[in-house]
Amino acid sequence: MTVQAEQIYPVSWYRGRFASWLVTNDHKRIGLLYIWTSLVFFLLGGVMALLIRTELLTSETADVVSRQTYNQLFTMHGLTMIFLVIVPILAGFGNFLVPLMIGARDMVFPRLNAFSYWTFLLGGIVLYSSWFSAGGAADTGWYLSPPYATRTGTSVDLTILALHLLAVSSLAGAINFVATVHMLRTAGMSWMRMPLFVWSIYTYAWMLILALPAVGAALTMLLLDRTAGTHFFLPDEGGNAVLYQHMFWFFGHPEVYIMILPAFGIVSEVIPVFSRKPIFGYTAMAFSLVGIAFVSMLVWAHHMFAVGLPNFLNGFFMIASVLVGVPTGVKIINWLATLWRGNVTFTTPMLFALGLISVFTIGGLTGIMIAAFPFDWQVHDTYFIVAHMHYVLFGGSIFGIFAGLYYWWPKLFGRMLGESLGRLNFWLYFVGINLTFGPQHFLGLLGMPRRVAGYRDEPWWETWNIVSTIGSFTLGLGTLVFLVNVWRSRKARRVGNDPWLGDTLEWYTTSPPPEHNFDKLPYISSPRPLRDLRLRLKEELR
Amino acid sequence: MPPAVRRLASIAVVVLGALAYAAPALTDNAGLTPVDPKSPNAEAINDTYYVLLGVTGVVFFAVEIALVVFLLKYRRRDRPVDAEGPQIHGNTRLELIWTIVPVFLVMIVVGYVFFKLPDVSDVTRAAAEPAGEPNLLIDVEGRRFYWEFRYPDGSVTYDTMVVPVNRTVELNVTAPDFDVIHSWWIPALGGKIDAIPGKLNHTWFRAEAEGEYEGSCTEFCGLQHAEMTMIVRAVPASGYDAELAQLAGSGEAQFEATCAKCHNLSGPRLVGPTLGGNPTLADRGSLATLLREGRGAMPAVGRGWTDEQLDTLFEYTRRAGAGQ
Repeated sequence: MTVQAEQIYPVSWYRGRFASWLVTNDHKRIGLLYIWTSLVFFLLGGVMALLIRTELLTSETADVVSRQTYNQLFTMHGLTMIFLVIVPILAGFGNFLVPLMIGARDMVFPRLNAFSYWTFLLGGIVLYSSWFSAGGAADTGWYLSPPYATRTGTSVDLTILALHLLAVSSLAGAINFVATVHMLRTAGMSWMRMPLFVWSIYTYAWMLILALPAVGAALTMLLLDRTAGTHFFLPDEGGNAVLYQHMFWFFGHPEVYIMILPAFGIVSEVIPVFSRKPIFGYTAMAFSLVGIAFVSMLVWAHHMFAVGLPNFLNGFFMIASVLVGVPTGVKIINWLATLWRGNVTFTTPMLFALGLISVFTIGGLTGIMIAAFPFDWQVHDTYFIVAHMHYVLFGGSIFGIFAGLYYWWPKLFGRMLGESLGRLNFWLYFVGINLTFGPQHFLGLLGMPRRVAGYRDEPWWETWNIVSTIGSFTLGLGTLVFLVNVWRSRKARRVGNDPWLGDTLEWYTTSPPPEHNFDKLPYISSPRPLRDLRLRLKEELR
Repeated sequence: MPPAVRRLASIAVVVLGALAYAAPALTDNAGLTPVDPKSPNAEAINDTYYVLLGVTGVVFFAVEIALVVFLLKYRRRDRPVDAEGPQIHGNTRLELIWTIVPVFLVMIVVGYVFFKLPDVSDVTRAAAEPAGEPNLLIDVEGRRFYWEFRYPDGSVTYDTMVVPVNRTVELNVTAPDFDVIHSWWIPALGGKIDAIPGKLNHTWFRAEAEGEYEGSCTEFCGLQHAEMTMIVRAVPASGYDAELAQLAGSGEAQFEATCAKCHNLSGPRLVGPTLGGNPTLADRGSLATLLREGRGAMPAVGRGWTDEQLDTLFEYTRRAGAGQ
């Protein structure tokens, strides 16, 4: 006979299994909502990428999807991956981890936090609803550049609305992160003892706060041009189309670093743990984040070298752009120095982190190449740029995100992702990214423009496109392996608080953490409180 | 997999991968370098490419080799998982070195770019030769979805630009106010420049060999962006005038560039309806209205055209329409 505890207090509706997720203010649950939602959009964006690659398998125009659909696909692929995958999943990691890492009970504004998530979801839904609007989804490219964006019949208005919602969401989230880091660090958690991931989210948040107003203004002006008869950007009515590009890229370039810096933060957590060493040059690592963020505000016009700016401006933006390479180089070398004489264990998160060093380096170096503006005049808006930015955003951001997923999965759910499938996932991604985007450098140098549904049938063009498409399906397969891994992890063995022997505070609490995060906190006297604790315990046991 | 097999397999993968990239490099230009330059500015850009490739290549190999060596050397082997490496927190002198060295490396890049820049963008340098010949000035207009070239003698060609070989050609590049942004780029003849409504841009080239140089519009401009390709045809100076007159007078060439990308004369529907038998082809008035105003998804292809331009096209469509 089973004995059932009698229910003394009635359980309110908002404690229900689903309802509790709808009304939650808990940073961990909001973080998980962010991560799951972003992963769903990651699959959608990935399917669009595969459709694009399938269309480009042959030189023929529009043999798989129509021209219009193709243009909508690359627009939505870009918007999805940037605004609905990378930025929000990093916000998800930040939400889950920042309060844990600084020893806080929650974010400083829990309800604002919930507001951020639900606005983000709404923005995503509005963006996708544009597929079903009269004109269909926008076909302008993710940068919505006028005058084309005012002359297309597609639903640019809904896209602008979605981007406004997403910007409001990001802005609220960013203010919350900055305030949390300032206000809620626990006793002993000084600035120079903060985990580097927290530093990266702090910088990410500041960059969002500084960059988003520019794009908000640009999009509002564009919306007015489209609907209210203004003519900010319309040359036939005295406006200036290049003005939009300045405003957009003033946001657009920091956005790239918004997407990459937290990935750097993740790698800076993973590499020391699996090398059993402290990060080499903590101070340099923290300030190089801030340095990259600062310089990134001054490089926007390197997206506009072909616009015909005077050469002294091109020169200024070239110098600013190549200077980003300096703090970035410091980070890469410091990661290598962290490996030096370490005890390197090849777990899946470590593989992804090492993969980031290897692959992102290529994207960073091609970034130096295209900052040299005469060379950019040659490869601008060709597949060379597509290759460059995917090496940065897939090889950088997505590899970092996957390192984070595999590393913190046990903390998120109390169960590990499988290591064998994880390794398979990594190798498929590593081979896939090089097959997909490596040959695109060659296509760009040969003269293949971006954003085309077909191309001139010249020697090697089809060959490299076939290789690239094979690579993209390798990436697709890697994603499937990840999904299987996620599915199987439901039944995986439960793990303790600290399966990786981590260094930072989130590993002090249970996996997953209780609603209040910590019963008590250890004494914090370095950036690696958990290692200090382990050493003290060892001492006591002796 | 036993370690020996694994090692063999990984070596095989690396060797095969290297071969896959090296084989095409040895046969012909498979894309490891930019398109073979045929104009002084393209050559200067090509030189820049090799310097960039050299500097970034050194860094690339340094990072990747260090990574692989460290991973092989410091992998765990049979050490316990929690065995710690030496707790080195940093080294100020080393970190200063690897902050300053990249500064020098990027300054090499910047310095070389400024050194080569006049060869790329300064047309007066190029004008020095061939001596005595004035530069040829051509107005380039990007339109949805064709290129219009206006020559000093008033003749107009579409998508195909005829130039004398070895003569410096200066381009004034723009797009009409009512159009969208396009970008002019012939890879063998130098870098690209955007054709922006309301903004006049300049670029130049000097084709150093006879032949046809192909390029594509490189700023996304709409439905037929992929079809918006162009050719520069460099011909001997002696036959230049005849060649230009022949092309500029061809209604068929005009039709191919401005109409045929979306419309077949006969056969299946392309982006727009098939034109065969359409009375507009033989009615100059309604053809003019259609081309100057556009209709539905069709852009105003002929807005701003002179009567001569319209006549040339009409002469062709009237005959082509009647031929159906």
